[in-house]
Amino acid sequence: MTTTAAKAYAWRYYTLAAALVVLCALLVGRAALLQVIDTERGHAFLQRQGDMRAVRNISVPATRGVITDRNGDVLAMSTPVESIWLNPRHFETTDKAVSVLAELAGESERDFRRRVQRNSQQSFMYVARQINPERAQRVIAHRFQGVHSETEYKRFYPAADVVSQVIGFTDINDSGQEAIELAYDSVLAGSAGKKQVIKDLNGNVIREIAEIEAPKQGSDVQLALDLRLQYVAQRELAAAVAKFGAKAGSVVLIDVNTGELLAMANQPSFNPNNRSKMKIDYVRNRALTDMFEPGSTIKPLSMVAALRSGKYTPKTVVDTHPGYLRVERKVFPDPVNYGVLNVTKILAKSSQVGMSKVALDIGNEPIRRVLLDLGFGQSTYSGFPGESSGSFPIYDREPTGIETATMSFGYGFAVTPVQLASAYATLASGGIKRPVSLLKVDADIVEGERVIEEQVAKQVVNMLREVIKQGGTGTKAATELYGVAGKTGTAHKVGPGGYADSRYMALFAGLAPVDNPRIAAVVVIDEPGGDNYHGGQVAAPVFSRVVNDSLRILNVRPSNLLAENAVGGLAYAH
Amino acid sequence: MKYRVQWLLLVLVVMSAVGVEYMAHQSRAMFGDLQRLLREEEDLRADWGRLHLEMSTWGAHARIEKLARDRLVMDVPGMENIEVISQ
Repeated sequence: MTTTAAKAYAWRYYTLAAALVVLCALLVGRAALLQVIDTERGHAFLQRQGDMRAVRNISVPATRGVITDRNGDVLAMSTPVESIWLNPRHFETTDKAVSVLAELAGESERDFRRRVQRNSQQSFMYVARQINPERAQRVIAHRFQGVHSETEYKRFYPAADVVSQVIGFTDINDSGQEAIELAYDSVLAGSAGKKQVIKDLNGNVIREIAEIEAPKQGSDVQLALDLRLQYVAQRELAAAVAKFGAKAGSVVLIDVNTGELLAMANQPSFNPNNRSKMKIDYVRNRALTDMFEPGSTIKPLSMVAALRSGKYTPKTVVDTHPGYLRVERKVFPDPVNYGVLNVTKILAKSSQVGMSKVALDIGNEPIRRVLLDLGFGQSTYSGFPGESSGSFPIYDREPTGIETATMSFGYGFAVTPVQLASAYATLASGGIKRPVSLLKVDADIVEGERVIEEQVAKQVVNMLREVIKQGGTGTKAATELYGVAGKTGTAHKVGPGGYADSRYMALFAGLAPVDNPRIAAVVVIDEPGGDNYHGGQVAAPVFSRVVNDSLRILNVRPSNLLAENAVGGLAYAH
Repeated sequence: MKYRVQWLLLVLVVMSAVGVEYMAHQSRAMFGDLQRLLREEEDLRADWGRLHLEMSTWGAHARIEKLARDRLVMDVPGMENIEVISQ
């Protein structure tokens, strides 16, 4: 019974065995189809799909270069900060996560939930940008679903409002927006690299596979600026602008031997680290972008033309009687009748009548020549964004007497503070014009181009000593330690419908130490209020303090030394 | 001995396979090290930057001047207090 029964049911056994074999073959066949035989949706396709989900090229950010002053003091530097972002598709809105992240983002939990809700169809949303790395680390340590951090760089400006208009700033993506940051953006920026990594489903990097492209770190930029002098200039300028209720102001300091811009201070200023109170007007580097009629500060340059003509020496006398001069339809007055003055005294007293008489005598062209040679009306090619070239008239006819006279005392054309400082640096160097430089120059002396005869330049500098002395207009420019030379200027500002009656620019341009000039400086105070508006009262004291402190910082030997100050000077001199 | 050359080649192939695997492993390990060192460099750079900024903040001219004048009651020497020593 059993054997017959076994025989009768043998088919069951074979059927089962066959079924198992077929199933097995199907599995092996499917596996082969997927992994060995290359079909349309075979292994190559699947491999690619897998890689697309896991292997990623991520960018490796490059650090932006550092901006330093001439001594290596840091003016701008990028440091890493973290930005926290989340993927709303993966994010689980647990109470804990919402409370932590809302606090980080600085918004209420309700607002935060709403923001996540609004972005629920997106896969990227910033929670908070540019936060302290330690704080970011604490948030990441909670391991909330779909929350990630990303390293970014934030620019810091340790000198804050002292150099803000020269350095400029970067935007939130660390690319330059203004000034040096903008002009040298490509040098500073470097370029990001790329590397291949494997990410898990939540987007966390689990393994780094290979570097595809190394990041190129940004290069550093070293400016000609000396932060110590810049600080002194900014401090004195801010004090003067506040004291006289002025609208704005600039101070420029140029190294006579190299043409380097040692300081460029501007008021009002702003703190680039916190730009919430910044007005667009504060960002401008007035020293390079703003132009004004230079007024009497041009007289010494017109005198260059007079001495050159051979008709005048510093002692030639001019009669300024009766204290005004009629030229064509205009009358140019002096404040009082100075009577007979020599040419040196014309500068010391800043006599408009005397200067006009000299100018009308020598003619327009020689003065024009000097001013053009000194670079007025042309860009200094400093490479600063938005630099102004000033303006200078081109005549298509014989210039009138009025035009010649006004040009000789600084009207009818406009200059920038840096152009004016560069012109005085040329005078100070004995007539050699050197290109102004924003970047540090690796030389003690730069070969320039001679534009004024040495003897003439020296004579004019000597004449400018008289401006500072008793009876001159610039006595307040005198410094305690050093002999200086310079010229005051008080220029009328142009308002609607001609020159405004009560709006002035107070100016002082000069050089020091007078015997062996190292620096040329220009002080511009825009619209000082009240009764004190003359260059000699407003701008000259700023010049005095800035120059005195700057030369002391630069270790220049005081030239006003009294005999008893020099200990053993003569005995040991050799 | 038949197949002598073949046996030799087989051994060489196996050795080369092991070598390739070993090198691949080495390269992965070294890439890992490289990444770790780069991260370390990045951290050090960040520290250096922070310290530099700290130094600049504490050493800001305005702050030094204020401290010198107010707390230490210092002043810039005037003409009468300056002596120049020539060699």
